[in-house]
Amino acid sequence: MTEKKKHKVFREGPISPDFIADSISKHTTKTSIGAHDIFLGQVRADVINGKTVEAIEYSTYQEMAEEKLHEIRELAFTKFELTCMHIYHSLGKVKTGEISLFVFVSSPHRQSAFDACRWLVEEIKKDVPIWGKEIFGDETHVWKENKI
Amino acid sequence: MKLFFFGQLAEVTGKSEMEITNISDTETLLKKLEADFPKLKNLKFQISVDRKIGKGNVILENGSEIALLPPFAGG
Repeated sequence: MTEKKKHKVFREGPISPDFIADSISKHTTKTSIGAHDIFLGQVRADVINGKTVEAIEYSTYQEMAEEKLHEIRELAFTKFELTCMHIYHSLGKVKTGEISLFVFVSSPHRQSAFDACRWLVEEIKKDVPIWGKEIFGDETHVWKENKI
Repeated sequence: MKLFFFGQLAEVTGKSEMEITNISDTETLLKKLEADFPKLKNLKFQISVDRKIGKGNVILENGSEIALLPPFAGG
């Protein structure tokens, strides 16, 4: 059985380790699952022109992002053998060292979980309209751009 | 028609949204925007119409929702 219901992807601020632990614990009753794979995106303290990034402030085009994420989810369920899938992304300010992206896939077997997780992260980075302002200690900023 | 600016483009134009009228397609829109906001010429972006990124020149209709999307940076 697959779980395809829509859920809220965007969360204000960082994704806490407790939230991630809770998500894992919610799967103990789903005993057809044999493998979970998780990707966590963490805000990195890049040094740009001698200044160190202290936080990223995320924004999105929410309606378009939700439509795109819905398409990506549906496609993932057709491409991979998945029991369930959860995607969470931060909006607003996330400090370096904190988590901004949490992708969690569950499958009967490991190969599908590995493949789906990697595919999802790449699709999210490439196709979902999310922007990130990299903020330095002196309050100046630059705009982040994903490498494809 | 409503036009949205996101990320760096909102910063550069000083606007997050504006109303536009009498513009028939995305090429015409682009020319007008570059005339109104010359800094846009130096920036990378895509245009979405009704939340889809079209290829080539896209015809605009009354009620179209248009957005200027700088490079994505999710994750």
